[in-house]
Amino acid sequence: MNQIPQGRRIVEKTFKKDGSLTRLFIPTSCMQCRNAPCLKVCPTSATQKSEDGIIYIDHQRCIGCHACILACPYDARAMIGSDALTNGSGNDCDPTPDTVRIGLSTKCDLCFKRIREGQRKGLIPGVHDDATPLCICHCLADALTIYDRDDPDNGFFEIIERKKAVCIRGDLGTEPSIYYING
Amino acid sequence: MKTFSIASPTRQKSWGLFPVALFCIVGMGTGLYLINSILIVVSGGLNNFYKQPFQFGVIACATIVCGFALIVFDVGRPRRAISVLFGLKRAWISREIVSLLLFLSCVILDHLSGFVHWRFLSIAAALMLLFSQGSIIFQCQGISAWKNPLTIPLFISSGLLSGFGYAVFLNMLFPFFGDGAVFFTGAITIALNLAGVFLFLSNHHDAEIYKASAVLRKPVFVILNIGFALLFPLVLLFLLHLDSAIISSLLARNITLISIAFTTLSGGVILKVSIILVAGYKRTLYFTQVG
Repeated sequence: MNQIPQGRRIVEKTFKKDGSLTRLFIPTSCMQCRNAPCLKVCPTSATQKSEDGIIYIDHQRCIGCHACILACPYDARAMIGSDALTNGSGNDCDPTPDTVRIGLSTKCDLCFKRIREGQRKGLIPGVHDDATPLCICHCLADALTIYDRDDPDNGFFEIIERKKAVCIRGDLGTEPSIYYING
Repeated sequence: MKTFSIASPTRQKSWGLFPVALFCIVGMGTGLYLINSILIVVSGGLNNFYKQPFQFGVIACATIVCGFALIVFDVGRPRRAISVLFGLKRAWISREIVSLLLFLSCVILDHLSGFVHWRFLSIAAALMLLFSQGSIIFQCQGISAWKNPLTIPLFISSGLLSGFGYAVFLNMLFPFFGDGAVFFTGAITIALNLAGVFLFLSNHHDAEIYKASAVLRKPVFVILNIGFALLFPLVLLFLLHLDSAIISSLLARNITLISIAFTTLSGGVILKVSIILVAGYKRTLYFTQVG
C-alpha cells in the first residue's frame, strides 16, 4: 500500500453495512503501550521508552534477535529486510538509509526524533507541524491526531468518553496509547 | 469487550530453523548433563556423585556451544552479542546467556578442581538455562500458544527427554550405567513429559491459548508427541527392564536401546518444533472498549 515503511501497517477491512459494501482502513502501527511487552524482552536495551512514553529503537544497540517482534501482540514490528527503502524510511526523520539497518528491528516511533527536536524549539506536538509526527501532518483526511494525555486541559479524556473510543486488544494488559473513534 | 475483528492469526516467521535448532540443541545438551547427574545418583547413590564420566560433561558443553553458535546465522548483528548482558534486569535472553556462561565455567572448574560444589552449581546453572529457554518463549506475548503457563515446565521436561535419548546413545558408546538406572531415569523423564504435554494441551483456563494450541491436538501431532516420542520408548524401556524374551539377544537389545535413544531424542525436538513453529500463531486483533 503506497510503499509504507516496514513495521507500519494499515489493515484494510471490507464488510457489509446496511446492504452496501464498506471499506475501512485501520492503521495498526505501534500502539505505544504504557506496559510494553517489547520493552521487557529486549536483551540489549535497544528498545527504550522516552520521558513522553514513546517507545523507540536505538539501532546502534539492536542485534536483530527478533524477540521484540514476537513479543508484540499487535504485529507492529518487523525486521528491516533486503527490500528496505533506500532513501530513509521517513518514520523518524533519520536520514540514515534503511539499507544500512537491514537485519534490525523497526517500528513506528511516532517520529520520536522529530518531536524531540520540535520540543527543543519550544513547539508543541499536535499543535505545531514541526513537532508532530509526519503521518499526522500529511493525512489527507485529517483522520489522525495526537494528544498529551498528561495535560488535563486538552479535552483528551472527554473525547475518549464522548466518542466511545475503542482500542486494539485492551484486554491484554498492555495499555495501548492509540485509540480509535468513529466520526 | 470484543467489538470488531481486525486481523486473523497468522503463523510467526521470525524464529525459523536456526532459533528452533538453538532451542533443541541447547535443550539436548543441557538435558544430557542433568540426566547424566541423575543417572549417576540412581546407579550408585549420592556417594557416587563425584564420579561423573568426563566424556558426558565435555559432550554436553560442546553440544550447547554448537547450539548457540547456530544463532550467529540468524541475528542481524552477531558482533554486538556482548551487549545482551545489558538486559539482565528484564530480558530472559540475557539471563539465558548468563546461565550459559555460568554453566560452562562451573563444568570446567568441576573437571579441573574435582570439588563437588562446582557440580551442584553447574546443575543449578543447567536448570536455569532450561528455565530461561522456556521463559524466552513464554515472554513472547505476541504468540497466543506460547503464553500457556505450562510452556516453561514443558521446555524443561522436553530438554530432559532429549538429554535422556542423547545419554542412552552415549552410554552405548561409553558404557557407564546399567539398564536399571536407564529404565528408572527414562521412565521418570517420560512420565514428566506425558504429564507436561497432557496439561499443556488440556489447559483451557484461557480460551485464546486453548484455541491457539488446537493444532497440536490434531491426531498427527498427538501420535508424534505422545505415541512416538513418549509411549513407544516407554514400552521399549519396560521390555528392556523386564528382560523380555523378545529382546534376549545382544543385537535385539542394542536395537531396542537405539530405538529408545532415537525416539526420546527426537521426541524432545518434535515437541519444541511443534510449539515454536506449528502452534506459533500471532494474536487475533480486535477492538475492545476503552475503560
